[in-house]
Amino acid sequence: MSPDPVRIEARFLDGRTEVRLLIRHPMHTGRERDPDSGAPIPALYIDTLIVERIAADGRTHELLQADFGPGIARNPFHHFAFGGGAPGETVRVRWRDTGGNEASGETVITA
Amino acid sequence: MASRRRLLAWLAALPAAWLAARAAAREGRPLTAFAATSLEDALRAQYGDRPRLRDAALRIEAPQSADNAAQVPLRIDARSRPVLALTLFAEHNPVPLLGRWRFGEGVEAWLALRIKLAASGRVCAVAELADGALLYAETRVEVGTGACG
Repeated sequence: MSPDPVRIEARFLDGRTEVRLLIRHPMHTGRERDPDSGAPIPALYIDTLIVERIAADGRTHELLQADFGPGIARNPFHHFAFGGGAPGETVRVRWRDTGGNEASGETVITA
Repeated sequence: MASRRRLLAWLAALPAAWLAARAAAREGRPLTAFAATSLEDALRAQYGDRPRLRDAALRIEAPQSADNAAQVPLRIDARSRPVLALTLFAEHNPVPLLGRWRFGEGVEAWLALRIKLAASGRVCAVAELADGALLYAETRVEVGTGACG
């Protein structure tokens, strides 16, 4: 599986930054079957997610570090916020799945 | 002398190693809780006998009845309490522990996401506060045909 893009939006307003992220991933639980062949689909889900803020001074601050089980919905979506941040700073997302695939994506905080 | 120096170096390194080990234990993936197959076992694996306070400060916003069991929206809100970590559980999922989220400094005490539900039942949240207290909340969500969790 090729690493899929991560869509992130980070918007600064009134001293805080709201982050929305959407990761394209099938999140296979290991209990599904292929609808055509009936063959079992092996488990393949994101088990680790890290969201970081890279401040203007280059320092990295961890925002979220998550351990997922198979019960997170396909194409995982997260919406959260943190105090501070600033337009021009970077929010970076990294994930790893149970198959050892990894991907990351980042966005610049907008006003 | 050499052995004494080695001993001193070893002693000097000890606190760092101990701290690192402790941090690893605290921050590692909750493997035992993920292996649990019932809600009660998952809660016990994660929190043992620590008291979990039902507190109105912690709320789970979820649809009473979800149109799509594979995409159930949740919003967990601890109303500005100092949350260090949040765990979420679905009562009847094959793996009841949905996940654990550790919040960095400055992150607001809420999170919105989407989960899968295998069947109608309780969705539960535990918020781990900075003072060590555990807040607990649950809500019931009805689904038609369940998704594999």
